[in-house]
Amino acid sequence: MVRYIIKLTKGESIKFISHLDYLKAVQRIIKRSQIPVQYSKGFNPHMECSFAQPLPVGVCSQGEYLDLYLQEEMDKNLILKSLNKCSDKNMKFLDAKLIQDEKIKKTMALVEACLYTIDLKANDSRDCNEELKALINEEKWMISKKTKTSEALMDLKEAIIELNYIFENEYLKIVAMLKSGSKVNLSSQLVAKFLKDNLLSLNKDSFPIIERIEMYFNHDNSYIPIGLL
Amino acid sequence: MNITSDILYKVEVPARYTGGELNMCIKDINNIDIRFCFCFPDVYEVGMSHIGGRILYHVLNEREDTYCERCFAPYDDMEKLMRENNIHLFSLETKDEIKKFNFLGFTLQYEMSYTNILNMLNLSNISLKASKRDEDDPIIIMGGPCAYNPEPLYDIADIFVIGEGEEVINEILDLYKTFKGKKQDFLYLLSVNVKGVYVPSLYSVLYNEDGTIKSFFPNKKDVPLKIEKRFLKSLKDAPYPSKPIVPYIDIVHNRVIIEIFRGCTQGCRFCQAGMIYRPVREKSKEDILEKSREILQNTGYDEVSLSSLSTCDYSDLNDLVEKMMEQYEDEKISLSIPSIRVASLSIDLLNQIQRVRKSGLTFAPEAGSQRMRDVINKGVSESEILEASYNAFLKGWGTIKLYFMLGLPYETIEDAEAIADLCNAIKSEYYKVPKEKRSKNLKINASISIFVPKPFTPFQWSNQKSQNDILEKVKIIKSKLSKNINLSYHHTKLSFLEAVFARGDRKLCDVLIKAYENGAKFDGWNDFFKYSAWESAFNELNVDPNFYASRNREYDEILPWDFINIGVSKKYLECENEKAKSETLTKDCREKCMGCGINTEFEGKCFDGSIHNKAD
Repeated sequence: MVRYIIKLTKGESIKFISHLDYLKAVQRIIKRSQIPVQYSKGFNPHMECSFAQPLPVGVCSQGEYLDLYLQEEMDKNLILKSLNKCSDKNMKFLDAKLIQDEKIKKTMALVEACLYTIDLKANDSRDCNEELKALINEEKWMISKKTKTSEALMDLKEAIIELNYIFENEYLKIVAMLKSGSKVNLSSQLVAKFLKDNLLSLNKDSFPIIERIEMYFNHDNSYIPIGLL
Repeated sequence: MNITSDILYKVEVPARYTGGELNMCIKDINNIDIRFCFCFPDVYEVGMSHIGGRILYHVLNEREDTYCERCFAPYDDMEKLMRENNIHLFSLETKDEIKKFNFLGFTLQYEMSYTNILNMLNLSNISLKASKRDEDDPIIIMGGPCAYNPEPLYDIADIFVIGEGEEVINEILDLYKTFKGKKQDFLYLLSVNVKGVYVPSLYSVLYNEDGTIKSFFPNKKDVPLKIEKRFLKSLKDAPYPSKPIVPYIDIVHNRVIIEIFRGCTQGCRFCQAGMIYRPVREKSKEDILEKSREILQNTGYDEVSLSSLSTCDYSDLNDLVEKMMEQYEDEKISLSIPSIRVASLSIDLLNQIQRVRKSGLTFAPEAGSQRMRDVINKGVSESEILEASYNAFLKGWGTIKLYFMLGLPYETIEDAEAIADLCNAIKSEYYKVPKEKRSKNLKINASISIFVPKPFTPFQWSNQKSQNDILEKVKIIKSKLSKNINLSYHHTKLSFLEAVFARGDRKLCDVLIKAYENGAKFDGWNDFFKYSAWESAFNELNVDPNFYASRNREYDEILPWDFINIGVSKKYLECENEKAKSETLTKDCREKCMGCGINTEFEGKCFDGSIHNKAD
């Protein structure tokens, strides 16, 4: 059994399909490509593959990561060629990396940060700019975070590693690096919601355009793209 | 039209409206003569699971001059947003308004989807009534099993196609392409020249004082008095898509579906499909293997399902299943075999189908007592059912689904009670299997549907039992069922309406429109079903639903669908009904031709492609 880390996209036009449906679509591509994928043993065999982190419904991505197990080693370019041949514009396979070191944890245990672009429609850019400046100067960005069992107050700022923005064509365009993974996890949609709730000059009916750009692991306190493992 | 994220994020399942799936057909509309939209009057997940639609999509898009697109009934949440934002109903391929198309083809799979057709027309800004539409509106074609009694929709559709659409549709489009002139003239030309096409506006109906039909006749020269159903003479080289669309979301049948034969020889007396889809025609084992291989390669699915009315009647089933499993086991592709007849469920077959993944098991004894099974000509005995159940439990199955029907003609209280007895007996079989061999969890799900008399069946003259009678019987069954057996049963009012529309006439067309205006839609969905909308529609138009559902009809009554010739004679159906009364079985016609008429009325023989061909 050989492990690969595959980098792929989730296109704009399929951003509303759920994580499970996305996984199934990827599995069907793998099936069509006929690469020698490994199946689990047992009563109900399934493909040995798992995503680093589920992408929320409504968000597209340039950088999803998949741990994929093959029965035998294969040339990386051949893997990519086979997969892309059987895929479409919504799911492009960007990279495949052979992982030989068995000590390296699954990507889902490695992810600690994600980079997003968040585009929010503004009714008036100038007002919005003023509002945002004031908001950024506030010490804390408190929001109540609901889970299935509890509701807790959270300071978003603690989980925002970096946030930059520009205004372009009526849009407030944010690039944000957010803590992500099993320790601290800040969803891009929560950030978008916080901004929509607190910046009066943002358009309330407009759906935020969010794209995940990259996922990172932490090495000696610096964030390195998963693909550079 | 552009359906933006600002709208999509507000609906529950946006992928119902986005299209763009793998294998979707893309064409340049500038190079197209005919735009056809295949419309399914239910949500995407239901409609995308329908094989007939896939076949037509494939056949139409094979034509260079035609672009066939798809449209489904928008769910409640989307409908609301569309109305708020003034968005008309659009196709999934180009997102163009379907009002701009040349043809809209609606499939009639079940009566309770009719209000959705009206809603889809309304959302498209198209008049509901054919007689009110003008030259620029699309021509509306309907087909499918419910088109065998088209009359309740007579002023909604422009054309009905009776029979298998893939056999007829090209003739219709060829004629359309060369025709220049008024719509009504085109419809007339179709009616005269293309067999299997029924244009309701070219016929008139007169009624007797008691509401029954006095006469039905064409009102123009050369329009045929009888409409013959159309069917493929052979399934060899029959069109079947090898690149079906693969939805991004889970649909009802999310797998490779491969049709293995059409028609059925069992002759169950309640079953419309068993009569209207005659004669039996099989696909060869080689064609099935090759086609399923191609579809698997083009879709990436990991499950194949064999489709037919009664899988075990396929003449070469054991070999087919074995060959499929030989190919699939290593690739972890599982095979599911629905519509298994209990009598033929062998241990061998069970062993084969569980080689990769174990799928659910469903038995359909249909009736509880042997007497009743003889009445409906369901040729299966209690010992066969119990033996099959024992074998299934022995092979480790723990969940079994059972289908029954209640309210069948000539049914007694004892017959109803026997449903509970049979369920209990099946449960006892589980306990006969040694503990270490049987599954730890036993779950028996008994599902009871309420009998709806259908046109072109031996029971087409029969009444539907009253709702009180049905509920009383359900109560008795419930009280006799032992633990671990779940009972579910169909909505009695819904089954009642189904019975009204299944055997309805033209007078119901206005009732349908009225009920729609009163708020009826998605009637087949429990959350939406609103009986009051129907009740007041009947009252307002002074139409008695019991006239259609609860009345026994005489053999000499002119039935609304009598002008359709399905090849099986009315005399044969009558004779079968008489045999039901005397609990006499009719043999499977593979053993002996029973003279239903299908092989003498039309060209084409029974069992084309079958390796037995016993009836020849």
